[in-house]
Amino acid sequence: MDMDVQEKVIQVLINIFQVSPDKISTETTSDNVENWDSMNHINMILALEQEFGISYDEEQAVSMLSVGEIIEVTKGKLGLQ
Amino acid sequence: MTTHPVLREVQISDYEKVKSLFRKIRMPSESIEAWKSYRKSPALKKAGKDFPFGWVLEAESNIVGYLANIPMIYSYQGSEVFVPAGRAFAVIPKYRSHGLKLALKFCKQPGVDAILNTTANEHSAAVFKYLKAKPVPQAHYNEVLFLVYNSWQFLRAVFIKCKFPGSIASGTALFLAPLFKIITILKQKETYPNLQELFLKRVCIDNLGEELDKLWVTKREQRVFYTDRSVAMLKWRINIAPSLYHMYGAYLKGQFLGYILLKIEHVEHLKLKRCLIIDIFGDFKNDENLVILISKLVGEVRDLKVDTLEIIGFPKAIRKIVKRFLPFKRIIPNWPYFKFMTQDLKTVCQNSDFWYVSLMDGDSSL
Repeated sequence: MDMDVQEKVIQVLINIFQVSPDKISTETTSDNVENWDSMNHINMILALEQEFGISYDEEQAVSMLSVGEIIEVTKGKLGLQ
Repeated sequence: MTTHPVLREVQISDYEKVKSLFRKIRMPSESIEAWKSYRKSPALKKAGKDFPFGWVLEAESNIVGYLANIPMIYSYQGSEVFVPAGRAFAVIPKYRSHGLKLALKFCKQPGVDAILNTTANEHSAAVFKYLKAKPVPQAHYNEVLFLVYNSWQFLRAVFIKCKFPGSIASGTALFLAPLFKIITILKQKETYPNLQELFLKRVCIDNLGEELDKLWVTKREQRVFYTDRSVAMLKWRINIAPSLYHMYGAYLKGQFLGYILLKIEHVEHLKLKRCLIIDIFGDFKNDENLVILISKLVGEVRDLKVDTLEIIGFPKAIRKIVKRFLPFKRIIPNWPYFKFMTQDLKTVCQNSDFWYVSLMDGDSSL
């Protein structure tokens, strides 16, 4: 299940930011993805909410600026921690 | 490795760094005089001394993001409503993923009745929509109505905007200008009644004092969400750049009915001098009076030697009248976004009659 979350998060990010899979890992942050601007950040949040059937708090949404953080917050929302 | 920027309240001492941010992203920056004016707004009486005038994102000793927070007061049925307006939302590309932090700080500020963002381009509209702000339900806000006084200057600006080289833009505009002039005349072939005792007079805000405050006291009781038009607030707004504003009082048999406020804007890169109708406010008694006043305004503005006369916003009834004189239209990407915190206003704001939004609202004409 943990692996599922990670894979799904990475897949959403690949689709939203239009990058090749090798550019996204758990170490990736918003600062090293070229298309990660405020609009795509919102698109990413909305896509993740749809993918996992959850809703992030606005404060969480603002702080989800690395793949590691996104996975952590999403697992928390899914009750996997 | 990039450092995460730190979010903090803006200080007046940040001015040069914020100016440098706008230079980097090739956007015009505000003047230091404007910054000082915001800190003298009459709306501060509702804000308290700790009101933040905006926030910055700071990284590596530079300002990399900025959102100004301008105090504004509205009135609805006689009650004052405190509504800060967002302005000059900018983040340099490298840090754009952090832009949401600024917008969230703006939307979540304590002690306000509502927030307003009028400079919504595609990016900021997406951000504010996500933060549950709603577009103002006033039809056609993004449809600019305009009249062209100088066909050549106008057409040249159109061609420059379409990336024509300067000399080709000028030449093509010169060739087409007579035809465009004929089209303009044909679109204005209607004649309008004249009423000698109804007239427009160029006025100075300082001379209007009592008449204007009397009008405002009456209008602020209505079930319309008006931005504050008290003499103090109008003076504050106009004095940010007094040479750019022109105010006309409307009088019927010597009695003050209301005013029309214009602002001149020089669009340097298009070499165009625009005249914007910022406000039409008053009790004009009937539509026919407003028709006559707008017809007189069109003549007055001609003497200001501007290239165009334009209007943005206003309710349907006013636009319908103005459209008879400003026959052209173009679409802009802007749309104002509001978010109400108080439940009673959240409900009534769904009604389009609640709104009277124009360039007077928020920061649009500051």
